[in-house]
Amino acid sequence: MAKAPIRISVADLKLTVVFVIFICAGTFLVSCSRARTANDPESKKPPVETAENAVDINSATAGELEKIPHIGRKLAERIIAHRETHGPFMRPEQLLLVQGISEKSFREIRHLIKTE
Amino acid sequence: MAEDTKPTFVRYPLLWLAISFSCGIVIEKYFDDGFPVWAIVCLAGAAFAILTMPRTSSAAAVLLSFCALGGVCYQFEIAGVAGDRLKTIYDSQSIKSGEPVEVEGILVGLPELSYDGVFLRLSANRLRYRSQTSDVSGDVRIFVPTSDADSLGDLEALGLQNNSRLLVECALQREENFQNPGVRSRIQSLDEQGLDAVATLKSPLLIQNIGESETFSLTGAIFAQRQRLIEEFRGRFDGKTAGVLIASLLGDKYFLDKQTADLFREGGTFHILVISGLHITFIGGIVLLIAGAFTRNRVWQFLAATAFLWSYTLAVGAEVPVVRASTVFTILLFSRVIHRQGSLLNSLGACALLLLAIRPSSLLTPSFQLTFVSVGAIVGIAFPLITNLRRIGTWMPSSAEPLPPLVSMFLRRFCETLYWRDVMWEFEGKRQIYSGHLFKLPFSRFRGEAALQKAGAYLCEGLLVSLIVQICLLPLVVFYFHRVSIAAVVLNLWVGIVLAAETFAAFAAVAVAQISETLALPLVRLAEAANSLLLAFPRFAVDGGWASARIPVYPAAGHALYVLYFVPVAIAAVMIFRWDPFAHKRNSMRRLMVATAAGVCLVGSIIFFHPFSSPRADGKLRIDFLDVGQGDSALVTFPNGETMLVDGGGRPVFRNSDDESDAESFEPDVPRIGEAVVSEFLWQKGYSGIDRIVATHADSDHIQGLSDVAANFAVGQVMVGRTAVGDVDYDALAAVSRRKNIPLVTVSTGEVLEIGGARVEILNPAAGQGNSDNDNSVVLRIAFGELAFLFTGDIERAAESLIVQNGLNADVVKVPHHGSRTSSSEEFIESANASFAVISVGKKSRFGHPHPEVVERWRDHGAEVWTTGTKGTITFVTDGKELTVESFVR
Repeated sequence: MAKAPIRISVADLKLTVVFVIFICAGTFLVSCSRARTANDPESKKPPVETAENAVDINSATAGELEKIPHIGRKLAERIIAHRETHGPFMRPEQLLLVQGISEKSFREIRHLIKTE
Repeated sequence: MAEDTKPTFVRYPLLWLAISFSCGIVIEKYFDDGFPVWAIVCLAGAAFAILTMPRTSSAAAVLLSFCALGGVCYQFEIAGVAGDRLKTIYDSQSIKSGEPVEVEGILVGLPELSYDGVFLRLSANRLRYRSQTSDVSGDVRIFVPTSDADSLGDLEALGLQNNSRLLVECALQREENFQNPGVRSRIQSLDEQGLDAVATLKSPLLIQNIGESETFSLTGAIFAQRQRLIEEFRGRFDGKTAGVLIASLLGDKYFLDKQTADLFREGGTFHILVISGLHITFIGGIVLLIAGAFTRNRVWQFLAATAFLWSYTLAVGAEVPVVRASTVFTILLFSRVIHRQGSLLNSLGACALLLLAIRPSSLLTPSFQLTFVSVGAIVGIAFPLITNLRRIGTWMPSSAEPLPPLVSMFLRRFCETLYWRDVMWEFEGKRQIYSGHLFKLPFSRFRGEAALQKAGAYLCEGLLVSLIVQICLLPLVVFYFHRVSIAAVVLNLWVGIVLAAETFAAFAAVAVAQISETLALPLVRLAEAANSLLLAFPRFAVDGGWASARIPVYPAAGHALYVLYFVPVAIAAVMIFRWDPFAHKRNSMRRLMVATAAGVCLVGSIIFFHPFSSPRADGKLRIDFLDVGQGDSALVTFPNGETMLVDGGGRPVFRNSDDESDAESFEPDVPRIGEAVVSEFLWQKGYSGIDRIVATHADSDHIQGLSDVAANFAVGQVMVGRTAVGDVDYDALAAVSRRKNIPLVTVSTGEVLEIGGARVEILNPAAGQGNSDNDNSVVLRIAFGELAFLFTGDIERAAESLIVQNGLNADVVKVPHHGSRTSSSEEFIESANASFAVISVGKKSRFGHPHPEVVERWRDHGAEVWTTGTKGTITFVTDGKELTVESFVR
């Protein structure tokens, strides 16, 4: 009977070690994720400033759209067809859904267009 | 017999229940018996079992009722897809695949990194289509390219986290692409991955993160940890090492390059790169070992191991095979906790039953079948066999086993070489009152070299397990991958051991690097060295040409053969399982054993050597225009059974001009058209060879697939119009032909071939040298009886005006250049005077093919226009007089 408690305490010791490891791992994980979330706001870029004379892509005519760089007649027609079948653009980025506008050219004209 | 069955059923009830449950699913799948029948059978079986409880017949009734239950569950799953599932919406065509929509949903996990973008998995809640919003459910996968710094910055600015609520504008796709008989359905493979639709975005700008979820979550932390490790591996090791480590440890396969992946495939060891049972067992074993050092309490060990295992499972994306493996492992561990005799077979049955009850259709997926057949082979055949070999090798007289095992002398010697140690007998001799000398005669004596002997024993056991698994998997790998890897028996051991070493080195390197970069450097080099060692042996096998063989499939009713193979295998498994080398009763086992072994060999060799698979001479000319998306490929089967493949499809590869300086640029491991579509189609037809392949010209969408076909099949001859040395795709084809000693011939205008009663004329290009451009495409006119077919490659107006001079007169024309307006001039169409015009082009062409005016022009001249993109494979069959045409999509 006297020996029993000693054995248990050895097991307890091992358990404690396991717990310590778990806690260490846990804090490590927490610190990692904290570090990530803390960085996020800094990496956010300022929103694009829309120019004063930006074209409203929901009401513009084909002629007005063609004045925007990278947009030719065909693309202008496709933009109009798109908003007629799928409803108005909710935000300028949706222009990317139209076939023929690459990401690169969109970035260059982003400040020239708006949606209202 | 009845006495025999009963104890087996009671000993492994779950195994039997799982088997009968699966039978129900299969019966339901192929015979479609209807719900009421199953329900009645199920209830009746159960009632009968309860009433006649203690008899053998009640066991049979239970099995029957489980079989019926399997059918019911499968039906429920098929019929039970909710009405608001994206799957249902797209399948019913309420919204057409490819229409722009706005999806709102929850991000599942973190973005899956890849070499040129990220994959998001979104659990959709709401869908807006043409200003109408509706509630939906189902998962979608969205690819977001991050090719330049701008888009990468935009993606990071979104601050994506696990469970972020996103609004994505995209064109969801749920449609078939290459529609050919035998080629794997895209929708089916989406369903297997639990995805309802996929989409590719132009830019991360189309994503909005609405609803910030800044709160800490454990799962989020696990995902973040995994991403951090992926970045660590990428930053620290060379490309190949990182690719292998990330795929095999972290379950992200997008960093594997094609060369490495193919090496693993050819060696039959690709499963090691996909996290599955092997990894889980390995990791679980290590965690258990560590936990065992701290506590003897089985409950604690169980909790530690399962907690770690499941967080790992979660971290690597909780894909179906991983979840399955973890479930098996957990059940096995749990049976240890509750102090059951952890019969592996029973646990395996329990696991299968559980997984099938949740998703009955998973039974029909390759991954499920491969997992359970291989684990079943290890647990049901290999383990009992090894146990018996050990018993034979270490036998010494005892009261339970007083007589030596009843096996051939050769086997006994072999086992004794592996396992016998004189020390054991000396030790035993000291304990007993009697003493004596045992005459053990190992082939070679290991005196005092126990370690060497032990290593030898482990090696033999490993090889045995590997061999048994390969034998059991034979029909499955032939059926699904058309590949039997002979080298896999050895390579699996090699790759397993070296990868384990590489893993330890890599983790040690990452851990040490947190303290000091310099200290970590030797470890990094060590891991990289291990990786080149890992690849060296498979490469040696592949270069030697003995790594693997490509094998076609018997079509339609021939599928039964693959099931038949398992009958002798199952009998052999039962016999090995019951084999007791010490049971001293003579019976007819030996004869039965020989018979089953012969059965396995016979069916196995019919599968392996496929003697009945070559095309028959039926006196008809048959032409299949394959749907290879953008590109050309047509198979001509001549009346005497000879075959000719005109072009092999392919995906144009766009290379950046900056990249060309890089000698070894990264080639991602995506299936190629030549492999996944053209070769697959030919395998499914049961062909292992093609007599002639024709490369009309050197454009990627014509010639690229041919190098895969030449590598996978026994090709008699390669025909080209112009040699285009220097072109990447042409050089690849030339290299394969050289390696396989396939003659490469140049053909030109005026040559005529007579094949099996059909006359093949070559109308273009004119003899000479020059670029292999569109106008130098090989043009073939195949005439048989009263009918003629015209294959035109990509010729344009100039070449058209040349070949019309003698009049073309063809009943079926493959429209030049995918229906582009650069071709199909008036005079050409008039001269062809065709009744069918076949346009080989994808559903959506990047180049806008076919051009509408071209289609109109053909129609105006009285030709029916058939397009592979919409019709799938288009097949013409003729006996020289009548012409029949049909398409894969009706």
